[in-house]
Amino acid sequence: MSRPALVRIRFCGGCNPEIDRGETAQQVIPLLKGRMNTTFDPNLSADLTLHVCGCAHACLDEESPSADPEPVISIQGLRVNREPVEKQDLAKTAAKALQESCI
Amino acid sequence: MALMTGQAYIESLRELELEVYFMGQKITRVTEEPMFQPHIHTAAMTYELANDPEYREIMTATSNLTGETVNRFTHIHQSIDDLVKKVRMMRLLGQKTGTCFQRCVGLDALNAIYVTTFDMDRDRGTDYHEKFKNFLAHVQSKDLMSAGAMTDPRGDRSLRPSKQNSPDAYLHIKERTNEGIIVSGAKAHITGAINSHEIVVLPTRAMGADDADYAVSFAVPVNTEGVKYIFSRQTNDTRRLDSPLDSGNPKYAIVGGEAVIVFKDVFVPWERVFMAGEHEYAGQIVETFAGYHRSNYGGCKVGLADVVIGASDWVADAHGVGRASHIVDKLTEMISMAETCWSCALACSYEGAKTPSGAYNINPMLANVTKLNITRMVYEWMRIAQDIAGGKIITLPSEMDLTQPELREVLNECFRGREGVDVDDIFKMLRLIENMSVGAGLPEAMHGAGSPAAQKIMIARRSGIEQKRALAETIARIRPDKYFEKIVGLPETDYWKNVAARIAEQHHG
Ligand SMILES: Cc1cc2nc3c(=O)[nH]c(=O)nc-3n(C[C@H](O)[C@H](O)[C@H](O)COP(=O)(O)OP(=O)(O)OC[C@H]3O[C@@H](n4cnc5c(N)ncnc54)[C@H](O)[C@@H]3O)c2cc1C
Repeated sequence: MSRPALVRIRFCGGCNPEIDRGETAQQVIPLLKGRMNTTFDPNLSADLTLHVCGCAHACLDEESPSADPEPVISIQGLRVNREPVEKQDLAKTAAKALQESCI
Repeated sequence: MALMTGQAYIESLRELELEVYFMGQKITRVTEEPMFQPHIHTAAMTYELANDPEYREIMTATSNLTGETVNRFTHIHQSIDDLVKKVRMMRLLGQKTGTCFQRCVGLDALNAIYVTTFDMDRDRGTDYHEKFKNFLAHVQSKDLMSAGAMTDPRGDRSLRPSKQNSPDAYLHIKERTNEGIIVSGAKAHITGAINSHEIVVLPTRAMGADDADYAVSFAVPVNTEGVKYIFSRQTNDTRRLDSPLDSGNPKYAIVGGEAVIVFKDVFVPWERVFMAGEHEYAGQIVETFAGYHRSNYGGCKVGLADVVIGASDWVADAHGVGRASHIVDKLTEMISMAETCWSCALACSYEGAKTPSGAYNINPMLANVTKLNITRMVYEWMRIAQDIAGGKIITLPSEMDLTQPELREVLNECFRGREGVDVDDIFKMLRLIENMSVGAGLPEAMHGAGSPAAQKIMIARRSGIEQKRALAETIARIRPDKYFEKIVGLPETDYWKNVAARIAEQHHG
């Protein structure tokens, strides 16, 4: 049996966020349970990274060069990977995107 | 096709035959009409600078459609860098012309339609985005100037389009055929309309289902049958007919040269229609356009501020008061206000974001703040320019009197400044300040890109006020503060109990 994928979770600075970033991340984690593990440790090498950004600008996505060698799924305020999402669906949509990019 | 030069642009207008009216006259040759020439020169600057290696980085971009180099005024922003270069271009052109260079409305309309049609096609299965890309490729390859026509006359502002007494209060679809749509109505205040190649139309407000016929976006060549133009008047505009000196900025004029565009049963083929009834997207296209447009004002008006600050310093120096402490203070105040607006323009660009279409959008909150600052600060820095320049800006006799030898002598005496400054130059500079600070430029800063209330609505909507309340509640000890608990190593309630006990002990023990 292959090991569950590891997702590193990173947060933007949260200067003027449209969402509660901490709460959103906490909602994503249980949705991944059993299939993926998560870490907030920036030094662990992971299979995927989840950016949790407070607004559409998503400054983590703009990092150049990117600090994330692995594929990135990004919550950008009320969007996931640029697609608008209702607030109540954010965590679910992000979790689905993480699972799909692991297949 | 290569990028057009300023002269090639003017040549390209000669072959367009438009139906234009100004002061009761029908104008047959737009490019030859002295009233229009300064506005045409200004638009020509947007072409000319694109050919200068010194400005090419800012004035041109690589098309995402063709990979060709295009004038940035026809470009869809592909990165944060593009958004930043866009506002740099605005400031540059304000500096070079001292007025509105007309093309940003069209640029913003192109970008707003690009972003919105992508979403419409994705959600509704329409094919507007592909059609729009074809149109855009045409604009880019021919290096065309597009006027952005959003503002409808709007009649009773409190009523929706479908509830107005006259259907023409808003431009609307009268008929749909297999070949296209037939539209009627008008668009008011349209900058650069008479010297553009294309009119790009978009709706002016969010719409309901009853307003579907008003939710319309399309592009037509300026000389389309059924389209006519009534050119606006401005303060002191006809001075340019009798005296270059008196007109203040005889090369480039003031504001952009606006016109009412009347559409009477105009046929638009489907390949040029980008929205026809999808009322749910009217709000999105308007907001996207308005955001782009409001961000520009922290570029162009700051370019104008650079000119008027320079002019104010020049006049103070010519009058021998250049080093007076209150003058230095006032100039510094002008610079500080201008750079505040510039900071806003840069910030809303740097904080921009990629849209699902791939195009980049500015940060809407910061763009609205930019424009709201402009509605106040332009008045403030122009007020200081008037203070420094003196009452002469509105009491100078005309150039006609200056050319009479016997009057000239006494006028020279009246208006000369410190030794070594040519009095003719003083006249020119005072007239420039009059032109920029007294006339049409001020209400443009107020209403162009929307009146202040429109910005405040957008700012309030994005204010995140709930989150700010939560911040205050946390600090005021109404909400739990998990970081405070970590810092003090106790649950907050226990910590405050301990504090209360300590205080009681101090008081009683
Ligand atoms: C120099 C200049 C150039 C321009 N260029 C262009 C251009 O190229 N393309 C283009 O499309 N437009 C252009 N505009 C139009 C510009 O966007 C409008 O002037 C602006 O939106 C304000 O509209 P208005 O002038 O009709 O003023 P009004 O709408 O009459 O506003 C007057 C006052 O009424 C208030 N008001 C209006 N509606 C309501 C409402 N429903 N409820 C409560 N209060 C309301 C406003 O807030 C404002 O205080 C230009 C304007 C200027 C001045």
